[in-house]
Amino acid sequence: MAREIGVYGKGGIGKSTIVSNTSAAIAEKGAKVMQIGCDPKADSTNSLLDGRYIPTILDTVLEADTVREFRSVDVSKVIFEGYRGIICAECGGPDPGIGCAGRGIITAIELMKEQGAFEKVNPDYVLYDVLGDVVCGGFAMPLRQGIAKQVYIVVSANFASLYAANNLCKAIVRFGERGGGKLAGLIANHISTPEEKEIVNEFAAMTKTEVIEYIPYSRELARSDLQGQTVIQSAPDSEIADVFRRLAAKIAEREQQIIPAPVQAPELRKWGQSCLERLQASGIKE
Amino acid sequence: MREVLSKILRGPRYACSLGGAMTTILAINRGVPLVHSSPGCGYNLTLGQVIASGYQGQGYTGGACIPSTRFTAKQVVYGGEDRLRQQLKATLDWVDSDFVAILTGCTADLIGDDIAAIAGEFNNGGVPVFHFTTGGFKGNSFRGHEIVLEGLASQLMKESARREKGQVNVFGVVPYQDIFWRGDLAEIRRLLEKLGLKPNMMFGHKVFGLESWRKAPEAELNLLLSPWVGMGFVKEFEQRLGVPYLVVPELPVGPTATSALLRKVGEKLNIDRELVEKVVAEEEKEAYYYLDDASDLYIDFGWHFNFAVISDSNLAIGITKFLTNDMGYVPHLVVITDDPPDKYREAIVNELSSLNHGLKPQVVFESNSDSIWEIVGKTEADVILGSSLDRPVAQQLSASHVCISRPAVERLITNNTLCGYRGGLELLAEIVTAAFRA
Repeated sequence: MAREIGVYGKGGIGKSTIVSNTSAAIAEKGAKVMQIGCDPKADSTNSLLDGRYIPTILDTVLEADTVREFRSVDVSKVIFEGYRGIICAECGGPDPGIGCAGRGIITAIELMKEQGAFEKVNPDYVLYDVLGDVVCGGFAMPLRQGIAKQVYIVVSANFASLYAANNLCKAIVRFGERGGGKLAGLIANHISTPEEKEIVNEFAAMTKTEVIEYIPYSRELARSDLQGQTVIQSAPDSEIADVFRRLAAKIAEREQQIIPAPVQAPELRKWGQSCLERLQASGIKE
Repeated sequence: MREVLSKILRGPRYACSLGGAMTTILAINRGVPLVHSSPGCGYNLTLGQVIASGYQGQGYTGGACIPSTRFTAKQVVYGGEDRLRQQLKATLDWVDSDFVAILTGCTADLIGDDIAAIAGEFNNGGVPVFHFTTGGFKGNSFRGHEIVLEGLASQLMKESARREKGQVNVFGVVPYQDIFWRGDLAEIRRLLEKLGLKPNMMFGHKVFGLESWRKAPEAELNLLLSPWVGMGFVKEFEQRLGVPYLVVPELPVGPTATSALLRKVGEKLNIDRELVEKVVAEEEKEAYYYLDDASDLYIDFGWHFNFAVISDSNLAIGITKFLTNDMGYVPHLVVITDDPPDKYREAIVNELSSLNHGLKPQVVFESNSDSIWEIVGKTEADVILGSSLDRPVAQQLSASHVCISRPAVERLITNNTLCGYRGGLELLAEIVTAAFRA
């Protein structure tokens, strides 16, 4: 039975980098991993594929103009083997400002299930890398019953990312009540100073969640990303590679289910203001 | 369970806003609706509506001929604009029309295809392309009808310095939803012409087309024959295009209401009173000639009816007034099925509470057939005037049934009308004939 994990977080926070590096670290231990990018940009799996872009599920299946053709698409055309045999797939979706990306994710995942893609691959882990806020039902698809059972939210000390995380907690509470995905923890990215660490910890305490790993800013990571590789592949002996190995081990073992307590927006804003003041104060001291 | 059931709309008497918009476009001569929606919307909605309106045919390009983009998953995910462009081009190439109206269904509206921009790409001096956002979730047929009125006003009509003496635009009769719309409008037109006016009929496929809409801003008056459908539109029309309006909250049925309508229009347009009275006298003379003979039934055989009406508001008011005020029948129940917005309901009740002899029927606003039948089942009416859906409840009551509202699947409707002097006579004949047969 595959462990199905959904990773959410504000756009641009580094979800794809974290998910790909984690996938690579899990695969390094010999497990069969499948990573599905749920973002119209379709670049979640690039660093598992030496920078290669793969045809998306939607581009492939929606070439069909009729429902009948649509149902008969061969799944092997949309899954690709990457670093250490990781099975990569990208949902894909429309260009910005047109169509419905949310519906695209629903369509792509439904099709993968209908066509028995998961049975064929038979992975030990499935990681869904899902874009941005859960702004509509489509982006919540992996949260629903029977898909991503464990959810991680990537945050940073940036207030907007914590605001998005708070919203994601609201969606997780809603779907959790219906038997959908449960929150397993927060992953803090770009954490280089004690103040930044304190901010995410305060957020976790306030929302009754838990940070399971802190990922520092890393030039090595940025470089390997640009090369189209994970640090597990390009810099296996680096410190940052070990951070991902640690994260992978935690994710592999983690069974905790957190019921988050998202706060109301005004309360969150007030707290954000106090953080800003503290950061400014510490900056002046330095 | 009851509470749950009461929220279900069973046996609806209208369709969604896309349905109302499509039939409205089909009622304009050589207007082609292009449905930007999932497969089935165009065919089912137009065919369903025209069949349920007394088999009025598919229109110019309704039913199986309706151009549609047949939205599939591809269009939902990637947007349907390219598909719309393709279908619009094909429609303009292949269908000989005076205008094309893009009408969106639910999915296209949800994903937000920019239909105005696409219509704009094709408006280069050829066949005009209009666009209407009519996703079914926006409301019922009446809202769809209003969206078309408002859209044509904003996309086509310009303020006119010129006034055409005697031109009256007629609104408020919703094509196909009022199953007698063709006959009703013909009767209104005939009467206005007798007053020396130039009625500008907005609907009447095969007869009245886009030209009526182009010249609408030159009118002296907008006549609205409804207590609410199109009310916002005629008010906006006055503000933006400077044409005043006259609201008559009913479809006039029989001599009393029809003569009142002619006098109101005459007064509003300063028509010579003598002419108005001459027309009224002539028409009434003929109407009463027949009514007088028919009234022997009442005197000789004691035929007198207690009635219930189930229909849209303008027709319900017209019928109730005629049967009560002109015929002396007793109104027991009026069920208004067109779901008027709350702000218009009090005025509708008032119209139905100012009848002769202080008679006050029970007035109910209800669109769900289950609830309608429950209420009708408790009346002592011996004539039920309603849709085909209401025949069983009439049989239960051992009452006779006359089909006057939508859905009407038990009769063919041609130029029949319940409106005007002629309509009153026709209604009376229908009621008595039904009673003989019952």
